[in-house]
Amino acid sequence: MKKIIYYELRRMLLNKTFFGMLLVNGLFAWFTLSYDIIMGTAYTAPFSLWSYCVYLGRTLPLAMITVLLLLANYYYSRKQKQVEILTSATPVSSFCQIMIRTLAAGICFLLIYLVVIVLALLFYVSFFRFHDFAAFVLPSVVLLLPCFVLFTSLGQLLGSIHRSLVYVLMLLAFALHSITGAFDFFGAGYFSTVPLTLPIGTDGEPAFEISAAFLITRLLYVVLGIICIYLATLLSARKSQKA
Amino acid sequence: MKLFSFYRVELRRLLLSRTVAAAAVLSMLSLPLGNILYDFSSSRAMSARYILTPVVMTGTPIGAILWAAVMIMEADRLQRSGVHILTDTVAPPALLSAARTLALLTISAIVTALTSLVYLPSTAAKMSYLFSAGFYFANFAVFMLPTWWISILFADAFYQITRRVELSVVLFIALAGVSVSGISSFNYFMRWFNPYVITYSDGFPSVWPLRIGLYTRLIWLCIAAGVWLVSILCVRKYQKGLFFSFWKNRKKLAVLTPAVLSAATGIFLWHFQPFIDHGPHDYKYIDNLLMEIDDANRISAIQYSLSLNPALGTISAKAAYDIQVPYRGEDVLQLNPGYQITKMTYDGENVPFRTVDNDINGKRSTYFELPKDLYNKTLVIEYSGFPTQGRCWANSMVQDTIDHDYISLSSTAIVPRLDNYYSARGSAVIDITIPDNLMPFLDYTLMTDFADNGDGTKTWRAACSEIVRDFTAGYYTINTFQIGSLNVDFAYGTAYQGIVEENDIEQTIIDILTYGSEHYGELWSAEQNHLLLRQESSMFGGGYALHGVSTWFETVLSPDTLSDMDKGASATEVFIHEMLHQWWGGLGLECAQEDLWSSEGLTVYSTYRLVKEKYGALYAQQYYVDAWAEAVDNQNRSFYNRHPEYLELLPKVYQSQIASANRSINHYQRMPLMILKAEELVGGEDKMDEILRRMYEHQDEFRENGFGFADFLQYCGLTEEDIDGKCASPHNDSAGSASF
Repeated sequence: MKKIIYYELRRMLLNKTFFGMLLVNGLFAWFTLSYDIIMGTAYTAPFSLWSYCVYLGRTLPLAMITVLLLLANYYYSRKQKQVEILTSATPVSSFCQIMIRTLAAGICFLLIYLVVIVLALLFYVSFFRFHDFAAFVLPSVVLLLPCFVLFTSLGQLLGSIHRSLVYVLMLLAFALHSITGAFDFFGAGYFSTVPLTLPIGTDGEPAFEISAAFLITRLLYVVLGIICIYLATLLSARKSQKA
Repeated sequence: MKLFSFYRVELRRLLLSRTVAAAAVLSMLSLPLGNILYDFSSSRAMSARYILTPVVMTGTPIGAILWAAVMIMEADRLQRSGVHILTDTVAPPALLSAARTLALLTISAIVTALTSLVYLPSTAAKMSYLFSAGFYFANFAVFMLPTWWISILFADAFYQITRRVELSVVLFIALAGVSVSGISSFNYFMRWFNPYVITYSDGFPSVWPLRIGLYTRLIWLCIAAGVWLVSILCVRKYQKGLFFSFWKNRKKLAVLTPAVLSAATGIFLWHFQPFIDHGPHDYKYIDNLLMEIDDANRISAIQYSLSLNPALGTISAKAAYDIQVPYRGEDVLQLNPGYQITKMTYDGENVPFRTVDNDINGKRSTYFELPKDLYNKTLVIEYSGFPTQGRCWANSMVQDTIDHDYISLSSTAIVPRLDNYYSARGSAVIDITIPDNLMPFLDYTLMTDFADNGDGTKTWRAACSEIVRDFTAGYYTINTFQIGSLNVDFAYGTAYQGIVEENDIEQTIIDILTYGSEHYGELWSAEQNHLLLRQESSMFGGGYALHGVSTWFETVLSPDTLSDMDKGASATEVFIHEMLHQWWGGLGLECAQEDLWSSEGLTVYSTYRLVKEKYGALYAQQYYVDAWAEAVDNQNRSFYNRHPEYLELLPKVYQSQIASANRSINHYQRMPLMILKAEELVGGEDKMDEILRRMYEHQDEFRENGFGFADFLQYCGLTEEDIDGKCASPHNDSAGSASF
């Protein structure tokens, strides 16, 4: 199993597409920081939790598109379909295969966000001499995890139905990048509008808080993602049986 | 034949290449980025927004980079895979290289055509009735395709010369860097990679930018083709280096001759370009061009006869002066530097003359001497040519242009200027032949007398002064109306007819002029109870006021301006704002540009007052006072205004960005709010009107240094403390520490 994970990771990570997209993500993140976040969100500091969350929210659509692109290229391409007969003959279960793919995609996603977050930290340190990053951890998890789980699992489910549906999902990621309110997938809309409605504290900024509705929605996305993975496993198992 | 068969093979191969497909797709997708990437501070014409920005400013340079990258990768393909040793034995490498480049040039042409077709429906839909298909496609053909070709040729040339990918990339970046760097920022000719276009006009379309664009592309195509042909001679021979290979290839005259000819043509075209004169970069103030006048009435009559050729953009003209007493000694006349004097006769005899290349402010001097004993004879000057732009203003406006749809000529681009012969009493008759669909103005007066020539042209005749200052012709619609005893001619581009009607601009003008005259005083530009309000082409760069004339720039009526909510709550109100600048700003009371003071604040306040009178106090409160207070409140809440110490940590570019945003709020929202506060303190609206009237009356005193905030306080009898802070929001406790 370890070998399979190792080779899957090698296949997915050590290629031009991943490095190219990593570079694009990094450039976009820096562009977002230096043209958008630098001005602060909703009159808050550029290094406030509000602004940081908006930053993550703005970079998420591209990161998700990157992950979906890698999934489409390496697991749902024509060549992959041709070797599916062979892989289905291996003793590795469909669930394991799906989980390995999810893990590989997750590591890609983590690497992208490693770059994106390090850039943000560098930006905050170099521009504002701001070092207090401990508070950034929890909002990062709340924003990134549900998004990743939902999109990756939905991507795998749709990819196992038809490859082109993964591209439709990419378009959906573009289309949904600017919705506001608790259902905001990526959070940029939510975190840029909510502070305007909150009372201003003594420091001139609204205190950071995430509404229960937003948290419940994030949880729902995770649950939905798990359901999608389950369905994708079922579909994959049925295809293996047919093969 | 071999070249053609290689070309076919390469074309087919490249058409199937994924790299080429990716470059094609990315080139096509790059166009919409323009309106996102560029930050435009002022309003623009629709054609500037939807054609200039995406096609010329974005798609052209991005595509140029992509095609250069593809060219270098393709040129290196055989070398990279190591099969060049084999292919060299089958096909001559120079021929193969040429075929590959030609194939890529062909593909880039196909992509240009496809791109233009892909964006055609959306551009046409967005521009609506202002869309011109010819102009749209011309931009792709004039700017995009030639620039891509130039880029491909340079990229291939660099690779053939260096045979190294990284060096080719560095050379290309360096050459592109020259084009995008500050030294080329306003230079039409240096910018091979990112063509320079001031702007476009919707109502008065001018092909001047396309003309100079085509010319500069031709220059660079010649130079690039020359370099590329030379690079063909550098294709390696016998596995030797650059110099040996070039030495062995030097006898290929079929390549070397066109290479030299092509590069020389480019340099020749650059040196003898007919668009910009050779004058200084800055406008030169000259005390007095007039020579000594020893007889006040030397000329008894002048007959000017001009024929304009819009297809070529040229003029062919004759000026006949009935001279009573010739000037003694060498005489001088000024004419546009683009014109050539073809003939000069006095009493039928040729007069020798010499033209000196001493261009200054768009004029060139020609010296001549008339026989001093011949009285009461006719001096005839025939001249023709393509009008050049004075270098001092060429990068910000197009003053002299002859197009099929729009003609604008000034001063010596119309008739010669003979300073030694003019008198105050002099007058002339002018005949001008232009396309019959254009409406002409001579010296800001509508021409009315014409003869239809039956060949698609009309010859317009008018009496004029000896010195003609302005000739403008375009698709104008003229509405004439009266405000009291004042006759107003409102001339605007026919393309804007819908906007004028939709926004009830005519009634708005009446309201504004009535309101302004009643509250601030008579418009100084109105003369003899007549006022011409004329819209100018956006190519002209702005509006101005003369006696009896008030012009305003085209974009005042553009959808961009009319949707700028900083200036008014609706399009009509924005127009009110722009018209009120007749009183406040360069056309009336010149205001100083300070952090908290400019003509904008006064104009916004006046707009509010007029709107209050027109639509009621509730409306004015909601859309003006409350909106100003909210903007000021937000400004006070802004992080950098609360913490100026962080502002200092930012790079200069961001500091100036924030300062610029603050200035905009200060001028458009904070300042009107302060004037409103001052209004309260001085005793109400009537008192404030009195103060404003006095300010406008004393405009002459402030023409040089401008009317500043301190002057305003003095007129109101208030101090800064009286106004400052009282108009701010509940959140501005810390705002006092913010520096604006």
